[in-house]
Amino acid sequence: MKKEDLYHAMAYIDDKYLDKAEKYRNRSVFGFLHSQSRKIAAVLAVVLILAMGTGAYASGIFSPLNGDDFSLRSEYLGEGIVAVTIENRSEKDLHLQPKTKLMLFYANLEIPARGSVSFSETKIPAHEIRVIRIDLSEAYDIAMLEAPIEKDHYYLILTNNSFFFGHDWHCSVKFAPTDPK
Amino acid sequence: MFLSDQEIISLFCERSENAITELNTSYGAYLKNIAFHILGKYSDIDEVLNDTYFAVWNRIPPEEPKVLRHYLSRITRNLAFKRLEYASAAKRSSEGIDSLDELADCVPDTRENVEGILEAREIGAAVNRWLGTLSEEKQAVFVLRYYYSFSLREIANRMGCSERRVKYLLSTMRGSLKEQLEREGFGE
Repeated sequence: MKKEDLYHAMAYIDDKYLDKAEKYRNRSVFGFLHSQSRKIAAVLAVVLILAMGTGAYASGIFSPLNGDDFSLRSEYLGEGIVAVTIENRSEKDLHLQPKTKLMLFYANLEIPARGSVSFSETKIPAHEIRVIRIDLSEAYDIAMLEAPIEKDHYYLILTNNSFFFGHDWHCSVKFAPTDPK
Repeated sequence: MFLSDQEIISLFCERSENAITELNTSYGAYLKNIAFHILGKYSDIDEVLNDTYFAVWNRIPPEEPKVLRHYLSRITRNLAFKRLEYASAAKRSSEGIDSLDELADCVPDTRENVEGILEAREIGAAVNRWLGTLSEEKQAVFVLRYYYSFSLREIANRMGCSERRVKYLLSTMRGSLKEQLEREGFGE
């Protein structure tokens, strides 16, 4: 028997097992939240207690940045490096986390990262514009990204709080291959 | 507005030109997702999808799938796997290749079968019997990895556990499946 025989045999996995897996397959963050509901309830209780104890400061601590106060545009520099220009029109500094997700828009797919991404800087002060260089070369197959795709496009998700809703910013990016000259 | 599975199958039986359009509307994204996980490469996905639709057009009728979703996923998975052979030759990396390599741990005897290629259906039946002995969580982890070629991180996110636990579960399951296949005589 070869591993390929076993791989082909997987096509005969019974529908009932596919149905069971389907429940988990369609889960994303919300599925995770569901499965972790006890832990999350405990964390929320602690957060609530802390918030009540620091009522005067609560609005300052929890008020999110307004997405409309930021504009992002990207330029591909070649060799997996993307320059993202971020304009911060808000009253607050934006501190990005040095991580990103790369997505396909219409297919709604996250391209799996195989290594780390590096950022030239992560702070965008209030009322300032910064150009951040993001190096994706360690994390993705750049030849694959530079290959033309039809009826879809890539975009990056940047975040200042682990991609929680309201703490992420999307930016389209076109990976045009660079001229070897 | 999505048509029901039965309505889509009826369009195929009537040889309606709308059949493939409706199939794509209802299942295009799902099938793209399956092909992408196996190939790890976007450029071949449309071809796999077109081949899937062509295969379905040729098979229905006479075939009438019980669960259209799973029927389609099997065809797309097999076609993507065929393309993966080219990808492997080019040493591309994908979750499909990684999960295929892991399955080598479950193979009791890597010598060629004297009667030629083992019947995939027989091995599949043995795998189903073995899956029936597992908890629902383990069944799902196994299917997500070796049927859908999900990455360890994707599985961990969906199961609400760590990647380390997923890796551990898969490792123990591969050992258990190997023993089951040996018991059923596939290693002889």
